[in-house]
Amino acid sequence: MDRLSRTATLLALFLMIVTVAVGDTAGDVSIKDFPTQYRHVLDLYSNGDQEAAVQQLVELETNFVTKKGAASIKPLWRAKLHVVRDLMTAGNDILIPVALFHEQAYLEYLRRKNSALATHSRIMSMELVEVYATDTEQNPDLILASNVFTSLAGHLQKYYRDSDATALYYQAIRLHPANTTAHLGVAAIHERHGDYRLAIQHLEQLMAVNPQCHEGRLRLGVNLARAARLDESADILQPLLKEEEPAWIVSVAYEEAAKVEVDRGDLQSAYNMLLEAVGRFPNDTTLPIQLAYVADRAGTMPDDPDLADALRRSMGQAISSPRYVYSQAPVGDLEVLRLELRGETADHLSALSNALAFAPSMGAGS
Amino acid sequence: MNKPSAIALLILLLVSVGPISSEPPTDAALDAGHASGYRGDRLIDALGDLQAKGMRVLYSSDLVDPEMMVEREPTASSLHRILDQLLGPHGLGTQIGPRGSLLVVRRPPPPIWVTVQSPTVSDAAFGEIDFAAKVVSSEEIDRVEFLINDEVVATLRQPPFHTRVDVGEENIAREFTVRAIGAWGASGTGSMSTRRLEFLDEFDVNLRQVFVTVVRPVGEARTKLRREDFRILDNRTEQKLVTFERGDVPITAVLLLDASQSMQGRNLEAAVDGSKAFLGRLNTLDEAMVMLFSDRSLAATHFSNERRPLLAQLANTRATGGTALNDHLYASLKLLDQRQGRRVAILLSDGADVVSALRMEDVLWKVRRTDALIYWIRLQNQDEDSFASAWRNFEANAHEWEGLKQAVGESGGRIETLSGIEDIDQAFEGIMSELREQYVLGYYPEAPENDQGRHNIKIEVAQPGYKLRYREGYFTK
Repeated sequence: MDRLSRTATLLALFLMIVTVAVGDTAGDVSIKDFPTQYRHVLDLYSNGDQEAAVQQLVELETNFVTKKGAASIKPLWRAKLHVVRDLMTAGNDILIPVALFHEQAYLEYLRRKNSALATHSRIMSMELVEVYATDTEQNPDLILASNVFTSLAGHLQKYYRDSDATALYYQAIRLHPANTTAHLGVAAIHERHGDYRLAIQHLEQLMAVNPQCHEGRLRLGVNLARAARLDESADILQPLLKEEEPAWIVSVAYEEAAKVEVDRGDLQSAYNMLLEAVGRFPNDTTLPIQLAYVADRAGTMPDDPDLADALRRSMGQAISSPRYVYSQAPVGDLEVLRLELRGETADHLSALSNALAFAPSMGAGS
Repeated sequence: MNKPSAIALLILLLVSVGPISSEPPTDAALDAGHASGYRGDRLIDALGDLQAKGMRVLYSSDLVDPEMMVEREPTASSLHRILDQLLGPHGLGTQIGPRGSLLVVRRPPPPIWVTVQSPTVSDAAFGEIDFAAKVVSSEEIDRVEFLINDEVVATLRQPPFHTRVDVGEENIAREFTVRAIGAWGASGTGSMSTRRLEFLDEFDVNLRQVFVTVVRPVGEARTKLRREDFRILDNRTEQKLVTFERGDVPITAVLLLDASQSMQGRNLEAAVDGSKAFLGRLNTLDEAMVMLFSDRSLAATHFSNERRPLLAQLANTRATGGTALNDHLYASLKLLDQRQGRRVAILLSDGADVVSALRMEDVLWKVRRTDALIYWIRLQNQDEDSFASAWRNFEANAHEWEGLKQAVGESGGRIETLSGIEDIDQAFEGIMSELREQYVLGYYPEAPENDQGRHNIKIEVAQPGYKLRYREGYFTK
C-alpha cells in the first residue's frame, strides 16, 4: 500500500474515532487495560484459535459494559479503533480479519441475546470493511470487501433484519456488480416482502452477469409467475427441467413450471411434467401430491404412482424438502462464499499476526 | 460444519483445486484418454486420478477417509458417472460447487422405488392372487422380498417381480409389502393394504349422504331426534329422506399431525398423546391412518383398525422443518376418496401453510368435491397469521389462513381452538363424541342428467333453538 492510500485509510479511521467519541459520557471510566486485552484476543484469533478468541472478546466486553453501563460501549469502541489504527501501520490488510472477527462476535452476541453489543460488533465489522474498500481500487480487494459484506448481510437476513441486510447487499453489489450471492440475497428479501417487481429487477441484473446461475433462473421464473407473466416464467423454468443438478432447484422448477401450466389452463402439460418429475425424484413428497391434484382436476388422468406409497417412500428421510430449501434463502451459496472467504483471507490473517508481533502499541490516548 | 472439518476442507480447497477456468470442462473433453482400473485402489487415490484428468473435485478429509477402498470397478464410460460409481458405495455423491467444481457431499443411498401393482387398494383379497411390484432403481437390485402381514412369502432376484400366492379365505384386512434390497445396501419398500368387506359396500353410489351435527341450547337435555324432525332441501327442492342413521356409521379418519419445527417440545408430545387416546377410541368397524408432516411427509401409515401399527408411527416423532399444510390436507382428502365409511380428516397444527406447492384455493376445490369432514385442532401460535416467507408475503399468508378456516367450515367440520396443550386430549374426545352423535341423512338428489355444478343444501330441524352444522353444498362431477 503506498503512503498516500494509507494516509487516506488512517484519515477515514480517525473520522470513525471522532464520530464515536462525540457524546462520550463515560470519559472518566478507566479502560487503560482494555487495549492490551484486545490485542491478546486478536492474537489468539490470528493464530487460529478463533472460537476461544471470540468467547474471550465477548466475555471481556460483556463484563466491561455490565460494570460500566451501556454508555461505556463508546469508549470501548474508541479503544479498539486505536488498537486497529496502531496495527494498520503494518498495512490495511489487517482490517479484513478484524472485521470477520467482529462478525463472529456479532453472532455470539445474538446467541446471548445481547443486542447492544451485537449492534456494536456488526457496525464495527461493516465500517472496517468500508474503510478497507475506500482505500483500494484493486478489483480483488473490492471483491473481497463485497464478499465480507455479503456474509454479514446473510447473517442479518437469517435473523430477519431485512432492511440492514438489504443495505449491505446493495453495498456488496456496488463494490462487485457480479456478486451472485448478494443478488440472490437481496432478491429473496424482496420476494419475502411481496416486492416481486424489485425481485425480478435484481434477478434480471443477475442474469446479465451470471446467466447460468440455476438458483437465479429458478427465482426469476417463480417471481415472473407471481407477477402474472406466465409465458416468460415458462420460458425461464422449462429449460431448468433439463438440468441434472442441483436436485432441489430442478425439483422446484418442475413444481413451479407445472403450476404455470395449470394457470395457463394446460392440465395435460402439467400432468406430463409432474409424471416425469415423480420418476426423476421418487423420494420427493410434494411432486406426487401435486400430480394427484392435477390428475384430480383433469378428471381423466390416472394417479401414477399411488399417492399413499409415494408419501411412504420418503419416510425417515432427514433431507429438507426442496421448497423448504428455497425458503431458507440465501441458500448454499453463502456457505460456499464464507468458505472461500476463509481461504482468500489467509494472507490477511498472517498480516494481522505479524502486525500484532511488530506494530507498536501507542495506547488509547495517542 | 465444525471448525476442524471446515479447516480441513479449506486446506483441501487450497491444495486440491486445479486451475479454475470460467467454464467447467465437458464430459467429452474429460473422457479423452480415460482408463479405469480403480478396483482395489484407495478412494482418495482414485479421486486424485480423476483430478489429474481435469475434473475439479473438491472433498473434505472428514468425508473421504484414507482407508476407503474401491471395491467395485466402475463400469461407466463418462468420468462424471465413474465419479458417482466410486462415491456411491460409500454413501457419498457430488453437488455443483464453486465455479462449476464438484463438491463431494454425504448423500443417502440411491433411492429404490417400489410400487405394489397388484393387489390394489380397492381389492378385498381372497384365495390365490397375483402379487406384483414395480421396482425402479439406479443401482443393481440384489433381491426383492414379498411379504404379507410381515411374513416373507416369496423372494425374487430378477424381474419381472411378479408371483402368485394363496392368502386364504378369511375376510380380514391384509398388508402386502414388497422390499427391494440393492447391491450397495440401499433398500426401498412399497406397501398396499387390502380391506375386509364391509356392509357399507352395498351402498348405492348415487346416494347423497349428509352428516349433521346438532348443537342444542345450553343446558337442554340430550334427546334423540327422529327422521321426521328433519327437512332437507337440495337447490331449494325438498328431498325425500331414504336413509336416516345416528352415530353408528363407521368412521374412516386421517389423523394429520403437524410435526414442523414450531411444534417442537411439549406441543408435539401433547399432540402425540392426544392422538393415541383418539386411536384408542376407534370402534371395531372404524379405521384410521396417521400422517405426520412438516415441509415433507414424515410418516404415513396404512388405513387400519389396529392400534399397533398406527401407534408405531407416533413413536420417536421429532419436530423438524417447515409446514406444508395445504399439500398434506389435500393428500388426506384424496386418500379418503378411496375409502368407505364416514370420512374425516383431523388436522392438528399450530400454524398455517408455509411451503406447500398447492394453494388453499386448490384445497378448497377438493373440499367442495368430497364429503369428508375436516376438524382442525388448532394450537395457538403468536405468529400464526402474520408471517412472511419466500413463498408468500404477509398478505398472502393471511389469505391462506382465512382459506383454511373456510375449508373447515365448508366441509361441515369445525375448528377447536386450544388455549393450552393440556386440552388436546379433551379436544379429541369432543370430536369423537360429536362424530358418534352425528345424524346421517341420505337422499337421492333429483337433478337433470346433464347436471354439472354446485348444489346448495339446506337442512332444517323442527326443534326451536337447535343449531345444525353440515356441509352446505357439493359439486357434481
